Amino acid sequence: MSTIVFDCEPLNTLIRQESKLSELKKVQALLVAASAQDADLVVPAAVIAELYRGTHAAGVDTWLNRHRAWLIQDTTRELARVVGKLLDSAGRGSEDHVDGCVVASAIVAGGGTIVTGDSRDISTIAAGNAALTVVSL
Amino acid sequence: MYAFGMTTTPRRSPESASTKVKRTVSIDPDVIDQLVGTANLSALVNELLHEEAARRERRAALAGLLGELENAVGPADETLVAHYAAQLR
Repeated sequence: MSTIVFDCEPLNTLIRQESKLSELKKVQALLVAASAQDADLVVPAAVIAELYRGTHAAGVDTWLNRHRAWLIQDTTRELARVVGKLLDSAGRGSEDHVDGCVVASAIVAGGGTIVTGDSRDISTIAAGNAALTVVSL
Repeated sequence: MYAFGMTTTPRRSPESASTKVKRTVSIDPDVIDQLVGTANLSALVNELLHEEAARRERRAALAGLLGELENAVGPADETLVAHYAAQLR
């Protein structure tokens, strides 16, 4: 069984009312592929915090309550330790905490695929980890 | 194969201890050998079954979401599906 860890952008695409059709079709295709492979979908709590920013928090709540397809990875002490090590190794600071949580969630799951809207920062933090694949939507 | 009584509960809650039910399962001996010394095998099995039940709920939720997406934007683009399937590990 594989694990797919979601960054903010793919989920934002699903939740936002004004997402472009082309973006929705990409996320739809990704989810179909994930379903066919019986993959576990994971989203770090830190990513959900990002989703809550702005004025559409109630919409985020409604959507998350309705679609419980994701396992929410809490920021446990174990995860925090991995995040700290990743950021330190990559020479990154606290501003990359969420990206660190995304990569760390894939690591504690034993490896897997990270799906993101912008793979640059995530790839830097995940660099050198052969068990991870970063997919940009 | 070993057979032993197993307690399960539909959900974990303060009152769950009084609502557990007994089931009998068969387990391969080599697995049991590796679990020698486990203080509470029922609790371990209970925990693992909770995880599996939650996993099945997530699968069902994903199927529901895919159905909604298909209604909203049409069927998935098979070329895109193949593109992403090739990248998943």
